[in-house]
Amino acid sequence: MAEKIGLYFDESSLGGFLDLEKIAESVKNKWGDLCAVIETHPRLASADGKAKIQAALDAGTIDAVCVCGPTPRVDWEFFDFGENVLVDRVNLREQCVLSYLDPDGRELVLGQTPEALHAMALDYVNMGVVKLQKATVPEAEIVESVKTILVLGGGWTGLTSALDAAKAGHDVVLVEKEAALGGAAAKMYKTIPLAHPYEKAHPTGVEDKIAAVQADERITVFTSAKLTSLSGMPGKFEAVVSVNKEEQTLPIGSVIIATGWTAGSNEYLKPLGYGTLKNVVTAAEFEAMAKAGRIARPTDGETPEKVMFLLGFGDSLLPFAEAEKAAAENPEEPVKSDDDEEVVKDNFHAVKTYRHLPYTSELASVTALKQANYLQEFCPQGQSYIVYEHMMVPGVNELYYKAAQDNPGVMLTKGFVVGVRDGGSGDVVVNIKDSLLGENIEIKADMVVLPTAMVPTTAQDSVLKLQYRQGQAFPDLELFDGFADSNYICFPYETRRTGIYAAGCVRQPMTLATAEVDAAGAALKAVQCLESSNRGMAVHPRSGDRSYPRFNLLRCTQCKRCTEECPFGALDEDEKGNPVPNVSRCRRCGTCMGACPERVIFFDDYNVDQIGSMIKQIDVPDEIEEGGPRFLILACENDAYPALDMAAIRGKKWSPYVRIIPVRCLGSVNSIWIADAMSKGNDGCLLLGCKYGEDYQCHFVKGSELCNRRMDNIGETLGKLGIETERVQQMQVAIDEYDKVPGMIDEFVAKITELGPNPFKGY
Amino acid sequence: MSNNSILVIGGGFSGITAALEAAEVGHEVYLVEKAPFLGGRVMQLNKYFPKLCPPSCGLEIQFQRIKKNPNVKFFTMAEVAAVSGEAGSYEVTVKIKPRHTAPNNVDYSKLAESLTGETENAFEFGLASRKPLYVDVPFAFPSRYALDGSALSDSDRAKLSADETIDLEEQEKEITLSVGSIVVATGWKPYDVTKLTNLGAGEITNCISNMQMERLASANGPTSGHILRPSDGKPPKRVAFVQCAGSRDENHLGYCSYICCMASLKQAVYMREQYPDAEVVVYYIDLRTPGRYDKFAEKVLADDKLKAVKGKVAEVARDKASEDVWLTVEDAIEGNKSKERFDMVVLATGMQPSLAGTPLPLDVEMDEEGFIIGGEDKGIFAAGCAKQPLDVMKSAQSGTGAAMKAVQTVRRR
Amino acid sequence: MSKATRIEPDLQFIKELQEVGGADLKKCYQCATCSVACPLSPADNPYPRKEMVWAQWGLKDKLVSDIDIWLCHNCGTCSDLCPRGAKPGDLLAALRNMAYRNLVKPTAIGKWMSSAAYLPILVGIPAVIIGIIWMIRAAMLGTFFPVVDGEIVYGNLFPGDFTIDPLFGLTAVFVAISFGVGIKNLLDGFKKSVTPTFVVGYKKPSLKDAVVATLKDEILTHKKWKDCGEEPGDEEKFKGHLTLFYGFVACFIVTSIVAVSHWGGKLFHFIAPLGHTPMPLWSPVKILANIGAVLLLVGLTYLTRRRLNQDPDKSTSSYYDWYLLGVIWVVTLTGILSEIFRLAGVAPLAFTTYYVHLISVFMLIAYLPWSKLGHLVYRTTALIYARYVGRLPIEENLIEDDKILVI
Repeated sequence: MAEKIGLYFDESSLGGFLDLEKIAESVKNKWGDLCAVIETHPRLASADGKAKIQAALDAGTIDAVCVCGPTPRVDWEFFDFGENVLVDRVNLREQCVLSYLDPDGRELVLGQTPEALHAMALDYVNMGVVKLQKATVPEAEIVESVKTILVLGGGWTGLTSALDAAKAGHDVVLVEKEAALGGAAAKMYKTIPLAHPYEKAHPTGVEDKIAAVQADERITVFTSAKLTSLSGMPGKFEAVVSVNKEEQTLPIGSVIIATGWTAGSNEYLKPLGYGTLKNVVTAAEFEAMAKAGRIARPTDGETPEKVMFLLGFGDSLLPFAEAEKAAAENPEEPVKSDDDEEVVKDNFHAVKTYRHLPYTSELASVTALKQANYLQEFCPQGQSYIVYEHMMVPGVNELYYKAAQDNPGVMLTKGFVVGVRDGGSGDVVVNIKDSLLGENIEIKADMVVLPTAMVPTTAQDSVLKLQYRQGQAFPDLELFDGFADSNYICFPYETRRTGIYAAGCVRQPMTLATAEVDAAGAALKAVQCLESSNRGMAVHPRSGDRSYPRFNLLRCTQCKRCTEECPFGALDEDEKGNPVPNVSRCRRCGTCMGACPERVIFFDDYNVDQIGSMIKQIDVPDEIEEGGPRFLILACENDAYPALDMAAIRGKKWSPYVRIIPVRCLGSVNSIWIADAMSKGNDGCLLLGCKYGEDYQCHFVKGSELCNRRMDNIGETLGKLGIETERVQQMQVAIDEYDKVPGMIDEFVAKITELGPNPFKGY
Repeated sequence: MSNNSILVIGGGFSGITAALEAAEVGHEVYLVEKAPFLGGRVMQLNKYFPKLCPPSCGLEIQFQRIKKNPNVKFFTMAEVAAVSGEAGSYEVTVKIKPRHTAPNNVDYSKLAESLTGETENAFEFGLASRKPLYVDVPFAFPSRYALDGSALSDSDRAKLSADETIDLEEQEKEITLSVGSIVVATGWKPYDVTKLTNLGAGEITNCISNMQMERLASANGPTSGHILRPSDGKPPKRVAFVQCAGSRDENHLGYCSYICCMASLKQAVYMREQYPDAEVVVYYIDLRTPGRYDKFAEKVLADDKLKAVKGKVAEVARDKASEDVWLTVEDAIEGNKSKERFDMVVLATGMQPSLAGTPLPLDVEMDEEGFIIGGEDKGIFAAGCAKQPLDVMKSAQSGTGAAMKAVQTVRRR
Repeated sequence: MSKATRIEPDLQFIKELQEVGGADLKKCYQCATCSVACPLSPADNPYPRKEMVWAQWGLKDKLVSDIDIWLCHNCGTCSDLCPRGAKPGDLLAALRNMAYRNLVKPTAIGKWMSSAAYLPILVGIPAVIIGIIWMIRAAMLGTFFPVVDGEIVYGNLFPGDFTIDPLFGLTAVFVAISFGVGIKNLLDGFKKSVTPTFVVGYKKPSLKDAVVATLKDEILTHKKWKDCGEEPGDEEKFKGHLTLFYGFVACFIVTSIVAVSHWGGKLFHFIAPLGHTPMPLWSPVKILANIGAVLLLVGLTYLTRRRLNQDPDKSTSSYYDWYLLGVIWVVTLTGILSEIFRLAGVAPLAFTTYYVHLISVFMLIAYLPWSKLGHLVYRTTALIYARYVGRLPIEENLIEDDKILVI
């Protein structure tokens, strides 16, 4: 709770367009002693400016700092006075002076401050003051963290993650469902080259990893083991692992899920002859033969001389695509898992799709190149035919492609299959269209090898067995067709379950080389998360944030909105239905605060009362004619707010009657704010948030979408008050839409102005 | 004696990621960037595939993380001059070029406008000129102007020496950092089109590179995001994308540059969104849209105004009169070779490691192309495109992975 | 193209191709740069991309009857631009080498031409035959190096009438017949693979048109060839080949005059002196002969230098190339030296050199249909046929069109 605020104006950035004395005057009159210091500095963002403020703090004349100048997005290094001093930055340059659009179309003149501009600046300064007044220095809630990391899956990725975490000084518990470690890698005869010069396939070397893991005293390995329950929160998880029917309870700090993939259903390969023609096999089956030391035709056990590796599916997947489209359109017939005992429960939805086959294209291509070369090993005069639509070997693997095809016995062409039929005596005849040989061709092969689709384990089972109120699994994996992947291009390790990070083929189909890097990355995130919890800090995207939502449960009505809406499943419920916060699961977006109708949830430095009070600082003229209308804009601080800054920097201007308040996320917008704003006579309220939908950009996943959903209730409330619902709108703004956003604002302002004044004006 | 801090060379996406991930584990990290601003290549991009979301969205978060984290200390206009020592304790000399401007954010926009000196704008790949006092884009970080002394006219000098926030005399500084481990995230540069003699060698005005296309499509670019022909500023009606311009080619870049196919499909979407009746043809050897990118490719290729043709363009010529561009290509499926006329052609030029030709004063093994292939034993780890061509998501993975290795190195001792 | 063709790859054929010059053919990834890069390749089914994929798949039938391999003058532009170093230019050369080897029986000779290992046989045959002649005459004349009143007359040791002329005459007949067969086989192949197609508005040429155009554009002027490549190497090759060609023409004329006047002289005595050897240096025929020799020297120098300067990453010279160059070098040098030694009156050297000369000439002529020099017949045939069926449009009969590459 700030009691002695130092209010500082930066002259250099406000460049004489504002009457700072006049502002200081009214602030003084309004807040009296609360603003213990009111000063104007020629260049506040300077060593001298910083020293002056520090001195006042040291002297105890002030306990909080309010800087009025450029946007808070710049000059941060000058206004950091340690974690125990609250600082607010009032954006009087970008979002006030620079973007000021004079109602009468006059240009700004140095030394002359138009009334509208002064009013705006004054409102913002008052907001800044009250914002500090209503905030207290957040004190971190430290989670005494267990330093042990749980790695699910003992395959290539899991083993690597375990070793990396151990090397970083952490204990590791490795859980593998099979009796032996090694996973898919152990089933491989060879891998494509993992390092420069990327020319020859070679043994995977997974045995060495296994040995290293077994030799590492930091790593405890459970084989034939399964995770049956995971409860608690980062730094304080409790994992129940059943090791051949015997349950063990383990304290865990954070989790890496590297449970990999299983071979896709063969029904998608039927159109390509699989099942009907015995000598049509999958890449996985072919690999197993090579591993066993002999390539043998299923029909006669002979080593085939002519093998076709068929990658060009053509239209053979079309029927499945159409079926799935139809199923998606009428969801009453949901796609069922082919695994019968797998009952679809709580938030877990099994994902079964033909798409896993095309998604595996890269692996399918490099594997075909690799296996085509196996054949010569087992049959020197052997001929391998690779028919591809696109040789999917991006990046450095091009070098392997080149080396692998430089073999007289390996023949490639683009093209796609139009028919597969029995060629007699076990042979298979494949018809190829659009080949490069200048005509449609047919090839008789002793054996045909089809790609094996990689289906992530998370598409078939909840795997995590989370004892979370929102369910056992990662939510919304349908978005990624069941892969435990991130929606963020920039943040590949983001999941909606804090402290749990996916790596390897459970996240995306990938080569061993990529998985190795991925494993290290996930291990780092796991280490980072439990150590952050131990420091009482949030992890990405509000990394380092000490604040966290607190609950005044006396007033809680157990409506469960917060526990349902938290994008990260941070809140559980006790038997009475009260929310049970798990601080280290929380990302500090404030969605719970926005959801709560009773307003019992608050952050020390960000709460309903605080923003409400800031809104009250908007000085709404009784008559539009004198002083103009007023509009409240609640802007997402991650995208919309920077966009507004950049619009201003690019010389864009907008109505001087709007007042912009940044929010952590639109998800944190509590409808009471809007009700307050409207009942106080503001003519409209605009919410600027991120894009939502399938390719959502909201950094808190659901914030802007939830806010949009809440608009309905808000509409009702307004209706009851007799206010047109159009007066409150939400718009989606991407951070690079700075050229558009001023137009959006002005359009909104114009529309509402047409509606006439808010009936509540003047009350 | 061992040291707990980590040096990250290169302030592009991989470098920023590596630095932040290590710093948020609690290590002191120094981030050294050659340019006046962080962000590297992604700063020049309009949108990311496959979501078509703006790079600045993620960068804003990264920059917030940097601002909030005292563990991260970054230097711009800085280059590593010398490195000595061994894994666990390195002494690194960093040269920092003078920025000549105030240490805080000063709005020099008016002043910059008033200057008479102009140079080619490298950030815009020559599509625009630049004043000596500049920021690349409004979003630039740190959002402090940089002054290019060499581009000043005499009148400019006079004018600037009058401004007390500008120090024309500022000299190059040298600092020494002691670190335990080094992450090299020096990234990539677009392959030099002048070497592509059969593809116009960069002399055909309306035959641009894919990075130039990104700038044309960017709201903060030279055309404020309107895709227009460089020659006459007219909207192109027929555009071709020439894949593997330098990539997958022993005579240029022996590897596949990973991103170009997806980038061209993405840019085709830019075109089609801006010009609903425009035609786009993509000439490819293989359309490489690995993994879940398949979904994006499927969606884009469903557009009947977008054609994908199997065949590498091996001849590009200018049409003197119209400034149109002629391509010669064989449709390998149809088996016929033809000349095709386009308003504008985009060369999907590949990525070359920044270190190609200009290695660091660092004892790490590099391959013939300039990618780093060693260093682990010395506590030096390559991240992102300094190691191999990658897309942004994989660069972030790689940066995080490298951070882990660096953390292990400094913790083990 | 709806009906599917059964593909039967011939692994052995691929390996053979790799041996005779197509070593890198497997590196090709079908980007089609080569087809575009080639200045001669037609718009419809251009080469050499399709040849590359056929070769990779060992499709022998398609390749042996492929007319396009003869349209290529091997400027190497395709190989220079090839992103994978697959050297399409070398492959087409290799395919031509395969043709020399297999077009005509006895293919044994073809085999002998394919590797240095068999060189002794090739040299041996003429060496023995002519050696025997030498022995017999030596016995008759009582000396190996007969000098008649201070003059060296090769005719004394190797008389035309009963030895050399019949030998070479018979050889010539054998060669002619072989070529006949070769041409037939070649054309049969073409008929199978090439369906006559003519560009719209294109005037179908008569066989005469085709022959004339070929002579004009290809043989006499090498005009077509001028379009090939831009590098200095290509220029060298072009000049070299042209001078060498005219060098041969000169020598051919001389030989013909000598033969005609000699044998014709037996009927019409007045023409006998015309070709009577040895000729005085002022004889126009002799002058022509010497000019021919010089042209040969110049041409050989050009071509040899070019081959020595080749970038091994871009294209390599096969044994076929070196064999032919070698033989022509020997023929030319021994020819010139025989004359010099003769004039100098150094009998032992003169006769020995002349002996070698005869051997090399025999090698040049007798193995013609199987050697690279066979191209002067096969390529000519292919070029005429290609024009005749419209594969190679005759410029005069063409209309310009954006969609059609005017070759």
